[in-house]
Amino acid sequence: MPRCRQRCNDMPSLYVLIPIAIVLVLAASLLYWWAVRDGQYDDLDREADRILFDDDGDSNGPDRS
Amino acid sequence: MSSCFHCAQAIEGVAYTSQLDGSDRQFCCPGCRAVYECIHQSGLQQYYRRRTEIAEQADASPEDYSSFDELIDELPFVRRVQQEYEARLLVHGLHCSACAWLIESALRRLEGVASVVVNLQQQTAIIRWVEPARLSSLMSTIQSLGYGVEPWTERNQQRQYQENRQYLQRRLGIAGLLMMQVGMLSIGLYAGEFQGMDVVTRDLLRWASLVLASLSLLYCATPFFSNAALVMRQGSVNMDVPVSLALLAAYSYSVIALLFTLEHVYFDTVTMFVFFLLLSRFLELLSRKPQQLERQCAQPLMVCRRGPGGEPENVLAQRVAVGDIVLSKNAAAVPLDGIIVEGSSRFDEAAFSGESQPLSKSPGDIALAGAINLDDAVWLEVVRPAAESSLARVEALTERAAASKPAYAQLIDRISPWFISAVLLAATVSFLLWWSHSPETALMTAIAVLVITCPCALALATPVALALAHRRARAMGVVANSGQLLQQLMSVTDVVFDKTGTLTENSSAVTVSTYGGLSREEALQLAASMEVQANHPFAQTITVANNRPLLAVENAREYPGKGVEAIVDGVCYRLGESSWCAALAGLDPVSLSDDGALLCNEQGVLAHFNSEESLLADAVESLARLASRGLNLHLLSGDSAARVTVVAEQLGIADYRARQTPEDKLRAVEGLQKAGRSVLMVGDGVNDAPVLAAADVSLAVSNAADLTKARADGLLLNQRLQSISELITLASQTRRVVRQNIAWAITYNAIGVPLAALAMVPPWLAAIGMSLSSLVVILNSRRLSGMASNRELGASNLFSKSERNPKSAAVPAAVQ
Repeated sequence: MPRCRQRCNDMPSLYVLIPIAIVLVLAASLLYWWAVRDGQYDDLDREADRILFDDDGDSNGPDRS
Repeated sequence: MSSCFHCAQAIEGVAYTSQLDGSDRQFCCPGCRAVYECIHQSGLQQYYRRRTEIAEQADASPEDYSSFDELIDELPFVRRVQQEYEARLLVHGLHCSACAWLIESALRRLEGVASVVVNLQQQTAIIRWVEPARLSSLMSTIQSLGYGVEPWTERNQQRQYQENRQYLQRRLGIAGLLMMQVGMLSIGLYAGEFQGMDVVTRDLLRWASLVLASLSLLYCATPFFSNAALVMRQGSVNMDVPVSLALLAAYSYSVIALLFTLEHVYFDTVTMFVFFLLLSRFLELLSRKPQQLERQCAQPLMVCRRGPGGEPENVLAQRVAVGDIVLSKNAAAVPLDGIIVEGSSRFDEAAFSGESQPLSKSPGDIALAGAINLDDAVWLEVVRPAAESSLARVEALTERAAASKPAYAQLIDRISPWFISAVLLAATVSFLLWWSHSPETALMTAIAVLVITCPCALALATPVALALAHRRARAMGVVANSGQLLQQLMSVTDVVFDKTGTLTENSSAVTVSTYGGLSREEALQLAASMEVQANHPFAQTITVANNRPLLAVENAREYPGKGVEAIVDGVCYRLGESSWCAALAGLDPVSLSDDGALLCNEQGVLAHFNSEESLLADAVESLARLASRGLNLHLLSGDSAARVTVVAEQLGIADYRARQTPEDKLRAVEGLQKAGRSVLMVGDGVNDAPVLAAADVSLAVSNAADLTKARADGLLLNQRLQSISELITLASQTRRVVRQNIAWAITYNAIGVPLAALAMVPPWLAAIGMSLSSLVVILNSRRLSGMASNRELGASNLFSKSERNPKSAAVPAAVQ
């Protein structure tokens, strides 16, 4: 079966790549699952604006004007 | 007229000013100015530049939270982990990210505060701190920034929503990931079908799809299976039953096809079903987000109890046992149901009965938790624990009312089992008919029929539209007390107004005519001293007009509907309704004007106050708009004929009656109803509760403080009459949207099911069609809330423009 021989050369890469894809999907799913549980999706209105505010909670300079 | 820099309300009379940032800022009240100064001194003034929504008027009186510190370990909303405390607080008045930033930044500067997270959607702040910081100072800080703060008490509805949202959101995201991955693999499979592919590769792709689809089915699709199982155990069916059947059928067939190497596997269809079904479920949930209620918790958390040695001690209300003696402070809510053992006072139990006449109670009488103690502090012997108090029961009732479904939603609930049974039957029939053609076609046709029908479009048609309409009503400043509000408003033919407080407002100008040698200032000073504790709107007018220090007053007592009696310098005075005052002076009341308020002592009349009552700013326009809708307007008032005539003529109301007692009003409303009319009654919700209850639907013009007092189907918290016609517009829009939704759902199913039964719709298309059809319903309903938010956005944009340019800051119209 000459056609098969040519194709079979591609097989080893698929045997590796497809399991990797499955593992990656599982990893992404777990990450997402954790992010939702951690409350990162709870208040989406807030995060969009956060960058606009000078976050000076850690720095000790209340005297800005 | 200029507007307040903090809360943007129009400034009446003298403005309070502050020059902290170099320019002259004006404020409507000392509370707003104090908040501004507090924000400025903390260096957080960028709040004013960043905010996109206007702040609420600040409350000038700080509350004392120090009793929380003593009992920190017992408070239900505080958790302690070693040295660190964590408290969850409900914050009122949060509008935009700037508010959240302001609170977080201000609190983080306090020593000992470890973290602050403000959640805008839940209106909560979660604060963690260690020793030098104290809960009371944290709460006071939030209050000094102009926000209301109270312990967070979890409400069932809210917790359920949060849990459901997380539950579905996790499954939706993962279903999406799995669907994309299986989709990639099936592209390979389909390509192989056309171009030829060796069996090993095909099986590899199929087995990989099986792994991913199994995950999708086992984790992501659990809500459908568990719901279906639950419903079937009760001997009924809901839409999860056909959905679960379709999922299981498609999956099992694919597994068999894989094991026996048949032609097709349908793992991509399975994962797509799961994703789209979860998507429509998730969108439905989002559109039903419960509203954060205004301060509902009138029952205090802390109680002052008489200890074993007779000394008072602060304890948590839930720790108080039956038989303990607790204090009911004056001008505050009664903490627990109890029998009065010491002292006597008058109580306002309007929260229960709608009766605003205070009830006098003395030792031996029972005082109900949640009633307002008006006069003096009394000691109570507790008869019921906090969790079973009258107020707790009223709240439970309210919660149940909020969850009740309107009539047509119930109808749909009743017919949907029949609908689903019909769908199951149709699927079986098409399966049998196609069986002779080929078993695979038969199975896929049956699956398509199961999936394409969308009972949820039908089931969602009404509740989503109503939920969104209520939310928009809330954005307009209307709180719906009853689920029937919008439904009833759709069919209103007559609007009846109760004049006082609903169509007019007292302006700050007072005309004073004095008799018996008192100067204008002296008369105002005397009156203001007497009225200092009174609640009547006229009292505020007098207090504002007075510019002298108050006199010492003894035995001040308010007689509802009449006025105030008090002793000043040993002389007894009465201030209020003319015939009641004249009785003290021994005069013939007929000779006196019955407008305004009289000030008398036993010798005779000293002064006559009259306020220029003016129509509310938007009254003329709003009523004209109502009339142009073809509504009949009526005015029933308890005021004098002369006044009522003036108001009615200005507003173009043809049917008006003066000097109406509550019984007269009730008769008038019932008369209209007998004539086949549907009556909307607009009142203040406090003195006219029976009339409001008798009308087909009622609205109370009220403020948030009286939320529990007012008994009406809806409360107009913004005091804008414009809202009435907006609300009626909303009601008719809602009805239109509901009809469109139902028409769409029926059309879709009527076309989709025959097509699927004829095997013209592949299962994956059926899944998309089904999701799109519920999406159409949700999006169509969403139009109801869209318009309101645009309008608000426009207003806030205008406001921030005027704010950037201080010279043009005096544009109060921009905020209205």
